Amino acid sequence: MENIVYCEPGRVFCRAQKVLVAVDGSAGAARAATVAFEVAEMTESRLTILHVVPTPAIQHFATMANEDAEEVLRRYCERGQQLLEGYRRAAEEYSIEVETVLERGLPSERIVSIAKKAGVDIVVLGSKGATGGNVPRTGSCTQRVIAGVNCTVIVAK
Amino acid sequence: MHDILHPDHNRLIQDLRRVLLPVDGSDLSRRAATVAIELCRLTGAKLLVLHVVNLGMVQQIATMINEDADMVLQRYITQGLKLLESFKALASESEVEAELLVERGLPSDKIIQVASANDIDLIVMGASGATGGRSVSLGSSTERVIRRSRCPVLVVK
Repeated sequence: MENIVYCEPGRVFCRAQKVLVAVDGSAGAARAATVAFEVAEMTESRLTILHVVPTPAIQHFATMANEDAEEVLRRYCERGQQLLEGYRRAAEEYSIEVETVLERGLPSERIVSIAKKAGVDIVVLGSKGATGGNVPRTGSCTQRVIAGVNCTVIVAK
Repeated sequence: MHDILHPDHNRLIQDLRRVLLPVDGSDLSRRAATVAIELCRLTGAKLLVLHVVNLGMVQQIATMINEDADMVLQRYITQGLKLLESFKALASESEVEAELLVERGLPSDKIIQVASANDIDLIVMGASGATGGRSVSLGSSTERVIRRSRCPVLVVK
């Protein structure tokens, strides 16, 4: 895109500087990440790879599985970091600047809040995540992010 | 209701025979239970209390914390039964007979399936569940049940 001299307001790709992709270890998220790498490289944007540790779900999980919530959370965060590391390595094939962020909370809410705070231009998501199973159509987290952010959202299928 | 002149054959409350109460241990599901039990006591309807183990979520969290999903699932089901027993006890305080059922799968799917397999007249459930956190006004399971259910749904807030 080096030959573009004038960038009209409202253009998405030629104005993008920050791309955010949220991952959770699902196949859908992996496809979304590839799209995000591509888009970030194409638009020369900085890419944030985000994983949200779903604390409300973990709390419920710990109660129902009779386990210590702190311990579950600690191990989940550890694996979350590994997951992000895996994505960081995958991104090395592309010439992009990458940062990884591990957050805690309700995934949809954290993704929206980070996208807004960081002034992200494009959010890339899978159409459904790891917990949905055979959810018909779009997963609830993706739905909430689409409704919540003010920027462009790419939903990878 | 004696002085109502028009005898309507499609009365919802008066004709209640079977009420389905899906619970997950959240505060709102306890509130929904109170409402369902009250309705059953007033109408003499039978109560079916359902707990669905969210298989996708269990698998995802078990993977993330490096545990065997089958082991976790066993504990989940044991805890789920305990949860259901507590609702049965609550119902018997109001002299309401309660049947208990544990299922596994995607909660919204299972709730719909159980409702149609058991000739349910009314589903009573909380507006959001245990895994949604505080900011969710309408949880995705409840939303899907409302959309897909063939019988009326009473949503407790």
